[in-house]
Amino acid sequence: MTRADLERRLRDARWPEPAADLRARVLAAAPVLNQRVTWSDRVWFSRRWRVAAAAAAAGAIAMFSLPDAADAIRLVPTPQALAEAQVIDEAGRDIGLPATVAQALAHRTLRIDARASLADRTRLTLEALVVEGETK
Amino acid sequence: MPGGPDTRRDRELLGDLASGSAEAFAELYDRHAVSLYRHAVALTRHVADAEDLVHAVFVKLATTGAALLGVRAPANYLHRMLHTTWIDGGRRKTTGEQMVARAGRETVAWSGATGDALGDAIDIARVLEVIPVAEREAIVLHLTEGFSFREIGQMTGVSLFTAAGRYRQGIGRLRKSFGASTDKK
Repeated sequence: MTRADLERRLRDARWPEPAADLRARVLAAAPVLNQRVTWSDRVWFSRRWRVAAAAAAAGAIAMFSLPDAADAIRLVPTPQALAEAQVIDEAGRDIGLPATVAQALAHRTLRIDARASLADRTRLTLEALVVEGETK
Repeated sequence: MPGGPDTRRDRELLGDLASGSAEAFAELYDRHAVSLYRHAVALTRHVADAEDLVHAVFVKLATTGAALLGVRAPANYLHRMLHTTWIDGGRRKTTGEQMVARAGRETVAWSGATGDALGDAIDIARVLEVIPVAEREAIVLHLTEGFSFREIGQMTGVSLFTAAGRYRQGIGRLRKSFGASTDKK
């Protein structure tokens, strides 16, 4: 008897079937609990929710592992801007402004200067790229 | 059969059963009892034990509750439950108390095939006698119930390769046995 033949015979074999009264016995004996499935159960056992939670965790880890965008473009004030800020700070105190207000004014000057220098750098980079493109 | 739209329906039924639907329970019985019974017969070789086992599985199923919402492959889940219930029952039987009660119980004694030719008939009782339980289980689950070896491995707690090996060994043993009896004739 070949293996295929044996497998075919086994597949075709008449297997026993459960007794007719087994169904009634099972249905009568099984204590089907009339319980409510809460939303938390549905969430906990939902595959979609688990995948979403895993994806959120992976996204958070990826975000924290990337370098901070603010760190990448750190604005550094020029020495001239620092001197101007110091002058503004001192002048503010001399005219009787509170120390915190004078400091805030000085910081504002520094920030404006830094932004201006960043804009200058960007403009110069763009010009350099344009020139490079034209030469090619 | 595992997989396909039947699985979706089974999952719906399990969800309803988790909420306490008796109709869902009855439909699950109708859909899976025969298959589970064949598996139980392969494990126990006794009619009464097989019925008890199927009974125990459905009682367990009815009391599982919200965990049923997480079942992805209901047929596999039920067969795995049957396997573990049988193992638990086997441990209890080692006390000897039930061994005495089992003596004289009716063993499986069917023969015949769906084919017309009598020569094609295969005696299931003999099949069950010839091969050890793990191999019987692998043969029934793969050949009769259509589960893959990976699924059988998951149900019975062994690797895919072990499940496939058990099946091959069982078939080999049967071939030897049936070949020997054919030679005698």
